[in-house]
Amino acid sequence: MPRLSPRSTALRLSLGYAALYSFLTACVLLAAYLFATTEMREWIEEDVRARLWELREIHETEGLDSVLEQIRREGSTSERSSMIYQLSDGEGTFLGGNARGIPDFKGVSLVRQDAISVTGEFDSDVTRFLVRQIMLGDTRLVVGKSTHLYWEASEVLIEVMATGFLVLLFLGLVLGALLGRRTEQRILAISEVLTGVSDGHISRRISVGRTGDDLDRVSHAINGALRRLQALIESQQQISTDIAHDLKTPIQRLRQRLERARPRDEETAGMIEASIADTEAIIATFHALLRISQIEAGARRERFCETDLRQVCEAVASAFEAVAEDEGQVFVWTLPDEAVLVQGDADLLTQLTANVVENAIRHCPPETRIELSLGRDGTRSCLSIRDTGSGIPADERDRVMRRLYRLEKSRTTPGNGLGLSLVKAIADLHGATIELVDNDPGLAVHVVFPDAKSAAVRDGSGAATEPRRQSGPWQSGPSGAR
Amino acid sequence: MKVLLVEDDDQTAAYIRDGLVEAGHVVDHASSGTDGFVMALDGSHDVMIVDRMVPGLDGLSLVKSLRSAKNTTPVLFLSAMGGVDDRVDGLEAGGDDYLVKPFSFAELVARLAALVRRPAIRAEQTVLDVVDLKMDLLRRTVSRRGQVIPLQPREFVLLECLMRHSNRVLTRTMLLESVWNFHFDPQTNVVETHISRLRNKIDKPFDHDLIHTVRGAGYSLHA
Repeated sequence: MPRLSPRSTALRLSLGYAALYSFLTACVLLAAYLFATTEMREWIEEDVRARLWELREIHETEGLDSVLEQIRREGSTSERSSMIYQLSDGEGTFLGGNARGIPDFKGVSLVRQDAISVTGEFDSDVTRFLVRQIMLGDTRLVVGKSTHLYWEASEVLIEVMATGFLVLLFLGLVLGALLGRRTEQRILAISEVLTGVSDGHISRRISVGRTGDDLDRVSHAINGALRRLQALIESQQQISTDIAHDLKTPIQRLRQRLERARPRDEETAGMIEASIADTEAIIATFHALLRISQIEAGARRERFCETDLRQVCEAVASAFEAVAEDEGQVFVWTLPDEAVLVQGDADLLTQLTANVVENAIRHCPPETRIELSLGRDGTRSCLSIRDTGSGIPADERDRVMRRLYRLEKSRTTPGNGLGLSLVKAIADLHGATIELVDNDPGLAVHVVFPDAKSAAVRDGSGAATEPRRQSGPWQSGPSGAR
Repeated sequence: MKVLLVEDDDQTAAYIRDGLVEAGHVVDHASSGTDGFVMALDGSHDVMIVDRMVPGLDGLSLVKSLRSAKNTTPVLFLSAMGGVDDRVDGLEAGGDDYLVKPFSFAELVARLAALVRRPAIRAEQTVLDVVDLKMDLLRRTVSRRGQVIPLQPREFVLLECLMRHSNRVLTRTMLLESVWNFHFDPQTNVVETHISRLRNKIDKPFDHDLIHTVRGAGYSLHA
């Protein structure tokens, strides 16, 4: 199960949208609440105003007594009243109604039930009245209506809305997280496939769902690109193989004829030997070029296993120490006591080390000190070959890794200019970096390998492979190569 | 020895066959993988030379099929590809050795000779003797005419290789593969340098040379 990171775009977007959605919902609910409560308050006001107008009508047509009669009847007959009335004269003397003690006010006002005195039965919920007053001649008429229905309705409204909002918020977050997680997993799957492909598993494909959504379309497009890439790589390899076959057969025949020629004199024998040497040089260059392209195509990576760089260095040093000494050079090697493990191919790593060492031996004058060392820098392993020869000018250091590139001064020495390109190709295959630095004097080549463990995790297949150390069958001795 | 050659290129086949017949060997030739498979089934050959790209059954499948049919005839693969994985592919398919085209005839013969099972080499042999040269594999010492000769570890392995295959030719590449595990061609004279050092210790102090250079082929240890 891939891990979800809080930095995941999908998860962040989903949760972000869930939060935004909740905020907007809250705003809409608040607006609805405000609208509904305002409306209810207006209904109450409207009731009160209508009653006032009704009573003023009665006052105008039938006089004050009828008004008194009317409010007394209403104040006492309605079993559970929610209306209050108060009629008082200019001096404030109570004339009638079921409420007393409502102070003078303007427009609309709210009075608390316990601040005035009321007669008659009221609901226990009744605590406040919305009141309005008019003057009927000299007398003041106050009509009020309990606001308890308004508050009750508000409470219900708040409860319903809050519950709804919480449910929505919860659903939004959960759905957002689920959707985000699903998307994130699909993106992780895509990125895993792409990492695998760049590690050399070119045949990997992303599994495409049937929904046909944007990720499916992207996956489909990536798969198409991968198929095309694989076809290109395969056709390139096929071309290499065909060229190898078509050119090598005539070279083989040429060599066969040269070998079978029976020279009559020493001179002819010498020419034939030189021709054989030339065919061998052609073959060597040819092999090296093929090898570099195959390594660059990631050919060998599937065979990687845990490899001890110390053993590789030991084999190379033991082979070339004597060669360097015969050239009059001083060869020094310092290797750690314990194994230095990297994920890799022992044959190729041996060739890498040998090529760099040979490069130093072949291009350095006698008396040069050549040093091979291996060390660990934290989790990384560093293979270094230093010499005190004439070095490589700084502006040429990048170019020497190119195929067939040779320094001006080296044109006369034998070699095909492929040694360091092969070194570069092998290092790249292993995820190692090569640094060419000034050894002052001379050249230092550092090959820095990534951590064996992290490389194994990245590759996923690494350590499971059996170490492969096959040699020719004639090597029957129990002592082996080391 | 009796050799089965599976090779579709007529010229190469003729070259190998003529050379081997001239050296007194018997050669059966098949120009397709299917023919080769049928001819190999009776198991009468001492060694097989199989080209990887032959029509019919390709070389790798041919050897895989033979191995699953319990045929254990040693196989030398020939390949024009020379790919980085080809050698390992060949060994994994059940091949015993691998040679990339173009090759020298001497290389082919030396490798064939090394593949053919030799009669009596006891597995637990602890002392190797060639004329007056003696190698103790347990104590890791070498002496000639009773005189102890100190050797570097790789010189010891090199000499051991030569002594185990005394009277046979070991080519440069065979020595590179078995002594240093180098499966590539170095640009410097690694083998020559070490052979020369070994000679200085084994042969120079004595009047009779044991290490011989076989021109155009390699080295051989014999009286």
